[in-house]
Amino acid sequence: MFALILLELKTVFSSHKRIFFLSVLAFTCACIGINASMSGLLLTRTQHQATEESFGNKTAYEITMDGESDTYIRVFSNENSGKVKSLFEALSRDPSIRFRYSTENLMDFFDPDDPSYNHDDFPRFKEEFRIGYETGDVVYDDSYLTLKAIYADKHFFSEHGVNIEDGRSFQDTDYIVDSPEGIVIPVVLGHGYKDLYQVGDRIEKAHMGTVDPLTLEVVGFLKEGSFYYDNNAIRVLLDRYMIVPSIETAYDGLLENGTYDELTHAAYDSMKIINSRILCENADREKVEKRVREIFSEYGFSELRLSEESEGARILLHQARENLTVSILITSFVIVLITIMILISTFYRITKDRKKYCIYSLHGISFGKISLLVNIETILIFLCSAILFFVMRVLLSSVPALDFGLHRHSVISIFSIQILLLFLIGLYGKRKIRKVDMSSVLREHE
Amino acid sequence: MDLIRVKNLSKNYGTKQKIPALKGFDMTLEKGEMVAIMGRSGSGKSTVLNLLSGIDQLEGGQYLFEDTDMFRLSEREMIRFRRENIGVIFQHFALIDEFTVFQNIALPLSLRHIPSGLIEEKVRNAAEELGISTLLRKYPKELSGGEAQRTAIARAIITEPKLILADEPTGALDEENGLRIMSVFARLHEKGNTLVIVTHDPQVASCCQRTIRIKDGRNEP
Ligand SMILES: Nc1ncnc2c1ncn2[C@@H]1O[C@H](COP(=O)(O)OP(=O)(O)O)[C@@H](O)[C@H]1O
Ligand SMILES: [Mg+2]
Repeated sequence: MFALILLELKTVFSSHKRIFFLSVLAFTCACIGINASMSGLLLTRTQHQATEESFGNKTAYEITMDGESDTYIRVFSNENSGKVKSLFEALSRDPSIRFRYSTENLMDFFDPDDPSYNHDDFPRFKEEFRIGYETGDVVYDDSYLTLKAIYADKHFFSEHGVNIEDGRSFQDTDYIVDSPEGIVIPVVLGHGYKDLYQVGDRIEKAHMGTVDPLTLEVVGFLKEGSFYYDNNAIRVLLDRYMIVPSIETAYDGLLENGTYDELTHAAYDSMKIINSRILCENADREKVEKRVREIFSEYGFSELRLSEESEGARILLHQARENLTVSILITSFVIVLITIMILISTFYRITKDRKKYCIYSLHGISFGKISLLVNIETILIFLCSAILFFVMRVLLSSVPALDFGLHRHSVISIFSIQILLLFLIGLYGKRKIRKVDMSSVLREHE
Repeated sequence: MDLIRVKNLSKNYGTKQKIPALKGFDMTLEKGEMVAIMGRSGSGKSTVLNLLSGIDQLEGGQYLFEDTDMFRLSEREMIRFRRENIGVIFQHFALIDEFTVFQNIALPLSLRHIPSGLIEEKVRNAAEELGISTLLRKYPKELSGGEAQRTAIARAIITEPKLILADEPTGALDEENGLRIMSVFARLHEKGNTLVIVTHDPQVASCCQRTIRIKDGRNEP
């Protein structure tokens, strides 16, 4: 049988190499299409889940602003820090409002101009920098080293179900800075940093926004695979994040010139307001909207507006679904086309070589085995295209722009589709050969 | 002892309008016999052979091969039976054009678990016997009719089948080549093979021990 398979393959390569290679290419494209649809499907599913989990039947608002950047600068200027602080405190302490302000940002480590900058610290930061950005965009600059950080509010751990593995999580006092001197801020690191730091380690010369260098102290590590849903309902894996308490200042940061000190300004940074979310049950919407507007005008922020955010995530989800539908439609179309194509080629081969197959049958080769021989070329095409697909995947993975992710589910679906198609043409081939009128074919003379 | 016993064999062709090809045909064949089936064109000779080899589906009558009731075999069993017991030779040789003479002759062995060395030996012996040893690397298109038919015979006997069926084996050959083929059959017969040769050529029939005549799908007395 093996000898016959080899002979059959030899015929393929001697009679129509080109068609063979074109088919391999076509099927490789189909694999890519299947992979894309599969990834889309998974992404949409995750997005759907995330939207459900983070919003559920709640309404989420974000705080936006009328006017352009000059309004923004005026509202959040250093002189205004006192007012922002009051607004922030009013929003976060009002019992009728769920005000959340955990935000994702970068923590800076720099800079070469600083005379106290210890170059020995650099390698470790560099390492953090390198492994901290396995994925995602980053601007690399020799003088800046940044680490992904979450500025967490008091509800971060409980509301997102983020758990500590080693050490401790934050206490209420960790969120308060009493004095501008000798600041040590506790941080919790993602599981990915466990091999670099231990609980109790200190990280010097970190910067929150533009604040003077301060010291961070590692107090705990997150469990591996911890994640949370960010403001856009996107699931963020925390293994390479640092969790920093979103601090408040409890001392008077007002300087003589009427501005506030750097830390106070950073603590009541616009980020905390602009990136915050206000959550409420759908039923309480009107009440909450009214109360928040009252607070805005009470503290003199008439420019601020409340706008619904959960809609945004839902629109995003809707779009993702539409994209997915299109990609599934295209892939299905390609699969149908391929099915027709290979059925036709099976039909064509049996018609063209029916004498050969009748002679096979005459010599006692079963219809099933003949069908295998008829379709051996298709099997080879499937095999080659699958191999080419994986080779392409490996080669292109080093080029970020061309890298197409590959999911376990894609591999499974590609193989199941191939096996299903082979089964189909196997049966079809068997049926078709059985129907050939052997006695007349064998009597034929060409 | 009888190798085959056929009684009242009948066969119709066509799906809507049934065209009778055999209307009750009897024959018995002893082991080691060489028998000719003679009749005009369209009388049903090929149909008989195709039913004996299982190429066509049996329809009516009785067909015993040794102790096996051939009507009871499933499609799969019939294919296996053919593989193990029967060698078939056609007027137009039925060789595979993409295969060399060697590969054509070796085809019936390729499904059995035989080491390639032994296959080679068997093919060479068969080729030797039929005088085509020098042609093993050629393709059917490069052969003369006589050479092609000898290749087909080599293929039919390579498995040492119990029964060899030949449908007008000399029909496409000139007289000289036809006679050479008949001498091959005679030699196979001498070695103890059982042969059924369909022909409408009396000269061919005269080489056989006995002739069964057929007319309009029935035995002609
Ligand atoms: N595959 C077939 N389909 C339809 N009719 C057939 C087929 N094979 C044979 N016949 C018919 O059966 C009859 C006997 O044919 P056949 O056995 O080939 O005769 P012979 O071999 O004696 O010339 C003829 O009338 C022929 O037309
Ligand atoms: Mg005939």
